[in-house]
Amino acid sequence: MKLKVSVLALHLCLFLMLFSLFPFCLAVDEGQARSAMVQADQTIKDCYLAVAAADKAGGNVTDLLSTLQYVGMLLSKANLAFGKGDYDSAYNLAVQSKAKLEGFVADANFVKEEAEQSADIDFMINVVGSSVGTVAILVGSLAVWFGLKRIYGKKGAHGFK
Amino acid sequence: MNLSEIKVLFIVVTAVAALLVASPVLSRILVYPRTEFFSEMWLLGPNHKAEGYPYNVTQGQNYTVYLGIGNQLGYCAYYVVQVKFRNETQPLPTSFGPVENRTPSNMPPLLNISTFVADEQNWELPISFSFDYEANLNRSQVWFKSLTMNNETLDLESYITTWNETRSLFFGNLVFELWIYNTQAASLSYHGRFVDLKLNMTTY
Repeated sequence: MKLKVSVLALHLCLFLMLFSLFPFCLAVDEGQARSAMVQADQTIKDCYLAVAAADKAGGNVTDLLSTLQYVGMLLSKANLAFGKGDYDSAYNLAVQSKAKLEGFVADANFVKEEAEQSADIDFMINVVGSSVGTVAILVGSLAVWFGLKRIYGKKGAHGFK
Repeated sequence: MNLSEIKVLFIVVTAVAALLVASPVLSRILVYPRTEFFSEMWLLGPNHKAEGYPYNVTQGQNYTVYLGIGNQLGYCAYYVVQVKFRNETQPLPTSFGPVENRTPSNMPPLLNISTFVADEQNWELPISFSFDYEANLNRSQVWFKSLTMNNETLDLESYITTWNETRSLFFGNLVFELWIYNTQAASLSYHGRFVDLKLNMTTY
């Protein structure tokens, strides 16, 4: 009898230890799910702002946008699950969305910096280079023209007026 | 060749060369600037055309439409499409007048579809949907249970539509409202556009 009681007590202790060691196995409540969703939503907005800045700088944001599309879809599903009272799924989907966006802002900033550098090069070649080249052609042509005129004038070339 | 002939040739060659070299900078200056910035929203029927839209809806039957958004805003935009369902007594969103004065429907969204569209790009989503509802012919009402949209079941438990004698139908209206993320206000706001499907919820 004593042995049975002690085995039972041991089992009870083991169960208690199990639950105290793995609290995350317990169901997610409404507050936790809501908080995870708010965080994921804010992360998406921050990432969107980073992508918008990269896009404005002229960067190629196609891949970044498809990641955002996917995450937006996950968050829509999280909202639906939350509405149905399925807080576990809502929480998991919100956490997945946030995890998928890890390093996203850094990537967007990298695309932005690359685009800005390439815009600088583009400006130097296409605006400064082109303007300087045009002025050089006009000035050079004038110089050549006056040179030709002088040569023709000295030689008294035929037809010179 | 006399000097006046050389002069003409010289001017032509110089002008052509100068124009060629100046073309990159001219292409920036002479581009006609965009003056209209807007978003487009459309709904196409099952054959991807503006025809054959579902109207007479049967319980449990699946229907397909295509929802599209075009971004001409000059920047990459964060849109949210709010899917709503209403009967004829409940308010429609507005889409006329200045955008800031347009109002969304006060019905709660059944589903939010987020999308990010780059400038001068389009986005399209095939939408398949079916309704689960029950007719209470004694009270001349249709009681909705759910709307299944792209495999997501949306709760319509409190939704009812009443028999319209003039039009001889049980009217249901599936509305897709366009919302946009406003970076200044850091929030989503109604973008003044919506598309909808007017439906006759048949009871046979």
